[in-house]
Amino acid sequence: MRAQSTRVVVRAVSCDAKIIGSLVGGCRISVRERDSGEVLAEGLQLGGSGDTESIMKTPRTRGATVFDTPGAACFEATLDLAEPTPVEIVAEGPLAYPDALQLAGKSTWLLPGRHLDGEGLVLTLHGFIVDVIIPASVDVLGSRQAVEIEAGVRLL
Amino acid sequence: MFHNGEQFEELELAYAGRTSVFSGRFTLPLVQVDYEVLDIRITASQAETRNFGVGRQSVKLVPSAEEGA
Repeated sequence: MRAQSTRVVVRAVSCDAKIIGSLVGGCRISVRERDSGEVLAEGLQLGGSGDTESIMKTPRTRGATVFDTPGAACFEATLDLAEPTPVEIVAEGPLAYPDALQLAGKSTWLLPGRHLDGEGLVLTLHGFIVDVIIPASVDVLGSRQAVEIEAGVRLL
Repeated sequence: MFHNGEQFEELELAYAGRTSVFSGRFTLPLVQVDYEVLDIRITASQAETRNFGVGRQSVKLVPSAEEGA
């Protein structure tokens, strides 16, 4: 069988929120051959978090475009496939927040010349980014001191 | 809140009036020597969306003048 170029688009999104974009460090994406574990493609998902209207406000209907809007973050690779290939696709992020790092994966078949693009293969990561704002790590606190604590909490 | 690895306080942070910011107050225990450590661990959960998270921070503690003397 002759190898054919096959496009693969992967999109890691936050559960109940938008696409995990550059603002939070993006996501690491890997595409592995499922049986051998060979890495077929890997890289970063970088870009914008997508269109708020289509992701957060518009009720979803079958076949509607939700994530594939201009500037929206995704990972895209082109593989040369000679035969139907079982793969495991994994996303890990957000990379700028180690304490919030989560992982999600799916398995699927990739078929030579049959592009997986548009919305792409969507992987949903669950979790919050929790930032301790006050006290700062460089602060020095004293014995029996009253301390104000402040935290920022947001979806990935 | 942990002091030298021992939990001494647990509190619920309240909405601080700014988007996505929560705050609270607590009082530190007795600090006897320099470089004791305060470890702060904050958890966030929203069961209906299956989202959970943790933030951590460590801060240096020092005794007051008379306690350190």
